[in-house]
Amino acid sequence: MYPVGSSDPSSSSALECPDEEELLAVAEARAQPAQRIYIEQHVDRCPSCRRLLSALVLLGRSGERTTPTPSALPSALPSALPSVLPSHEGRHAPLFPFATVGRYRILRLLGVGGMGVVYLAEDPELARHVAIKLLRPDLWRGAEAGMLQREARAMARLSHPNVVQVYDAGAVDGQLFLAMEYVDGLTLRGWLQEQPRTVSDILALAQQAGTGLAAAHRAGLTHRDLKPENILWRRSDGRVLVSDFGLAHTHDAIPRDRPLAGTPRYLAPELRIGTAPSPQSDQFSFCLTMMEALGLAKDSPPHSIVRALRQGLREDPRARFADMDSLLAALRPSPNRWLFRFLFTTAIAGVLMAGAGGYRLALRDQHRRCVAELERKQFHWDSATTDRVRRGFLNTKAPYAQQAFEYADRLLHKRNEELHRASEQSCELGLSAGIAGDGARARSVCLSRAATDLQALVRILEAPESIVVERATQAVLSLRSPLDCLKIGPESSAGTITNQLLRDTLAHLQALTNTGQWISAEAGVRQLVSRAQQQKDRAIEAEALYLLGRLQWEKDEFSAAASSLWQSALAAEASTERDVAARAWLGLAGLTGEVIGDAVRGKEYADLAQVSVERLGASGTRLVGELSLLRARLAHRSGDLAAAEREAHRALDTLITYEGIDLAESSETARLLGILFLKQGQIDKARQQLERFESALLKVHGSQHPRYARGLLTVGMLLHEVGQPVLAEARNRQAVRILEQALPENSPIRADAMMNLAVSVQDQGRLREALPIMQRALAIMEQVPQHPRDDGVRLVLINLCDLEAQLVLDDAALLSCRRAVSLFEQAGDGTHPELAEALRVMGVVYLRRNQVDEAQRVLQRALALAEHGGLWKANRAAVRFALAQALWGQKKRTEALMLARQAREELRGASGSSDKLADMDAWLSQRTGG
Amino acid sequence: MMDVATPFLNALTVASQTELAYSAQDHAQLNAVLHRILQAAHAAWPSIALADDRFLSYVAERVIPSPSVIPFPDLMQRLEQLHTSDLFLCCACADGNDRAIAQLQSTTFPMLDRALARLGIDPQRRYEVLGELIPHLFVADDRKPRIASYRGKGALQGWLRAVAVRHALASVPQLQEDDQALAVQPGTFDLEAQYLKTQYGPLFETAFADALRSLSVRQRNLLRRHLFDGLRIDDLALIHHVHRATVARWIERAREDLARYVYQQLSKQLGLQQKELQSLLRAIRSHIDLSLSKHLR
Ligand SMILES: [Zn+2]
Repeated sequence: MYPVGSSDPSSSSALECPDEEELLAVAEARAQPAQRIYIEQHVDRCPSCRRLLSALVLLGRSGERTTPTPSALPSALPSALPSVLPSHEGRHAPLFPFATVGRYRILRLLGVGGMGVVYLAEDPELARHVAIKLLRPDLWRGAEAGMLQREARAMARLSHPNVVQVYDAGAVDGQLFLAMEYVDGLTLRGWLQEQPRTVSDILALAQQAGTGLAAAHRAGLTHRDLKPENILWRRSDGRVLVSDFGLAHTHDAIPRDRPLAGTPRYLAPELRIGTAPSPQSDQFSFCLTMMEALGLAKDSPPHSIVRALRQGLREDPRARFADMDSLLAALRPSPNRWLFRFLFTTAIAGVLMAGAGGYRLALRDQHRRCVAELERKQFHWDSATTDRVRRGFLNTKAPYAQQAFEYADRLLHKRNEELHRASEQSCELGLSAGIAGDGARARSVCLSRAATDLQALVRILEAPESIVVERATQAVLSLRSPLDCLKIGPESSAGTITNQLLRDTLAHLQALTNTGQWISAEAGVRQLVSRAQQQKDRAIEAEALYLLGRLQWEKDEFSAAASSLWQSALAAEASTERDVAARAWLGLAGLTGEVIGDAVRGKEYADLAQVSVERLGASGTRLVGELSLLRARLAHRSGDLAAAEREAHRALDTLITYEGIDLAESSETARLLGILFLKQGQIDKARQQLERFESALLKVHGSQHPRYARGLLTVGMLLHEVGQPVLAEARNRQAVRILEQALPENSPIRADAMMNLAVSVQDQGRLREALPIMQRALAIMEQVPQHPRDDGVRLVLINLCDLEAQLVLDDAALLSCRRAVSLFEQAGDGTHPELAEALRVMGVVYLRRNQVDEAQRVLQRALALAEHGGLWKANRAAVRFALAQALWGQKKRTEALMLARQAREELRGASGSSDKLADMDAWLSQRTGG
Repeated sequence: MMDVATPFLNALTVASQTELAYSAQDHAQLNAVLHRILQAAHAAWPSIALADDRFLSYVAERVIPSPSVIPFPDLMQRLEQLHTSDLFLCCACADGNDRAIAQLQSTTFPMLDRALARLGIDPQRRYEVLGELIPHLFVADDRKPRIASYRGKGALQGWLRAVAVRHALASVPQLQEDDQALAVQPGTFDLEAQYLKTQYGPLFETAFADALRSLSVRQRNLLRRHLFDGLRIDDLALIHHVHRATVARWIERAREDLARYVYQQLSKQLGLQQKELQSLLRAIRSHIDLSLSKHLR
């Protein structure tokens, strides 16, 4: 078997390495001469065998001769076994099948890694497999253990398709464990060994792994120990996941003086000298891993890829890419990018030829910077991305997903074009002005941010939850148009220079918030606030506080939200971030004036908002519209309907110029305007407005989208008000059907729809049929988590009470009404206009029972509220009329007649209430005539 | 006594692809030896269940290294020398017996960890190497699991240690080694070596690489092991079955050959004066260890 006697070393340096038994025989000096010669010739050519042989000799020298394997230990498994991983320091006792760790049942050992032992286990509660990592107790002690647990919690909050999900962290017998997603597949190393891969296979894998890493970076997590073993490929669907975030233990000193010592191979150079891990050090490990992987590919990678990886491997972390996204963009062949570059170069060339003299070079430098920066931050809405988003949308199985995708696609395409156009024009502006003024820099910063924000949103759209699909259009619209950046005046300052990492994190969190993923966003936002404060980055602090305020607002934590928005506004003013300042003041005004109901302070904040918006000049157009909408709402809340209508008109006009007619017509502003018309009794205008609202929603979102259902409900309400309950019922039924398909059981709007349906059925006199529908609405509303449950519940109760009263279920009616009234009072909302309706119904029931004093008491209170402006005219008239009846019963006849006449006049102003009018006339003629 | 020899010989025939010539007496002797082997294996691993015929055919596949013919007495001798109880454990592991895998881990991994520690591998990396070893040893990929390639010639512990060390070394980056080699500096500042380096840098490098190629395989390996792997003269004496004085002489000779070769090359090309040549030779000698550590990887 040995090529004995061959004299030519090159031919005898056998292709195949001798196996361990043969090398061991040589090392232990028990090999045959022929065998020895063969091995000598092999190791002359094969350093790895030589080093192995030398190592075996060294080990033999130091006394550890091979001894026969000790046979089984005396007593039975498992208790008698020593640790799996033995020797010094604290180590694990091995776990055997059906042992438990926390609530998890161990199934088998999967492997042993640097940080501990990994088992496959079963989570009996959720009936799924998990991987359990038992961490080495000697590495994680005391404060470090606490830190790890905190980090594990942070990791558990990070949920991304390309990151192995951490489910749980805990300690058992003082030993830390992590429960994480079990990935049945191969590590990158195994994947590469399984069969030869092509460069494009590897690059596709790199995109996935890198996307996971980027998501973690945005959430403020660094990996610290990225290597092929931590990149997993799932066999079932080929998805790539990054695992073991933050688990690397960096406290072991790296031995420098030992000849065969290994250092962690993929570690960035700066970590070897003790610098703290960063996204940049992860980037290094990522690039080294991918460089090696490409080395094993069947074909060879294009030069551009190698160049990008080399940049990621630069010794100086600052010379690497700014972030993973930029790196991934460089690892992605993109025709758009080249086209873009071409456009820029021609633009520069043109200007350079026209221009002359000394500052040419300076200009060219300036320009290169500008091009480079924009290109680096460029947002791509290319066909591959579009495809991913489409697939992501359709995967949610939302019935409106296709339509939602199409509209989002259209919008993003438009934004992409705007971004390119704006970038191009911005550079030309900078050039023709000749000076790199602050304005030019401010424009460039603005464009770069616009691109970052769009990119962050697209990342989320690529793997969306249903809620994201539902909100996609709104989320795109909530970002400003890149064209706004062009309107930044020459005197504007660029604002603070911000750490790009924080900026990217912010963009991601903002995208999460805008797509309704509030719970996922909150922890990150809080972390970002404190990081910005630590780094004294007031611009980011302002933005993060603004997001925090919005999230708190969503959770009904109004005073916390107000405080966050206030701090955001202050930080924004301090950092001259005018756009943020304007938004923060706007939010604060809405929160204080509309939600909390402090009209005076609300107005003050609105004035501050106005100052900020005016300072923005033309670039703040969008916010001018929002300011008008805010003023309309404040006026609505305070009962000044005419002023509200004026402002709403202005807001709608701004929206039309900014977003085009469809989006404007389908906006909240359009709806508010319709309702304002209705409340002022301008029925035709209201109807026109709201029907346009409905059809614009259909056009934008399609017939299956919850937003369209909302449009149907609004028109249904209008039809109800104008006395067309048959048409109203049809709309409401359609809305109920759409919402049942599109939204979960406990969505408040499903209860609203159900309630409106009941009302429209009730309006047609089918009271018995309406009752179970209304009760169902109440049941749904009671399941709504937290906000806006109580508001919803009391509204349904009022309607239920009214229905029960009509069915002469007086006890039930009084019960429902009292419950509603006490909910208002508990919330400190004793002056809420809707309260008037509950009181009115109670009054009617008391009247029927001849409890005139009780009736008079509640109706008096109802009238006070109704006159405050909250109720529909028809309802206000009804309150007056009921009170008139109560007063009549109390023998206060003059007062009673006066009120009844007032009621009749009021009802004449409103339309479609001839029945009620006839009732009043009859009552009056009976009293006056008789 | 049950006949286990016949199935064993059948398995052996398949493995060696040759019919073995033997007598009835031989058969009885073989049967007895196999029974002894079985008894010892079961005694060594009482808690591991493994069918006798499966184990014996596993041994049969390994007792002869590759398809070949050996006389019956040789077969018997080999069987006697084979670490069959170790093979028993490995066979169960290769068959995916969890209990056997756990036993093997618990009885051998402490030793592997100590061995890696002595090679200067840090705890983190040791943990990783041992962890990577588990799937490597026990999980069949496209072929057989690695544990199946242990043939029982030496003790299992030694084989496992070699496998572990190979694995650990493979993951020490080449780059690292370069760095280490380049980082080796002469103990004291040597003006002549410095001069040589700056004056004749590239020329010297070429000459040195040629000189290295002119040495014999044994000389090259000696120098590498001695200067790079850190083996002492005694260790080298052991490998080569010679007295330590002989190894010392070999090394001295190899160095001198190298220095002479480089000197000849350089003096031919540079046309230096006698005095300069003397100085050059001194410089070459003092520089040689440094360069060796760079070249002899
Ligand atoms: Zn080899």
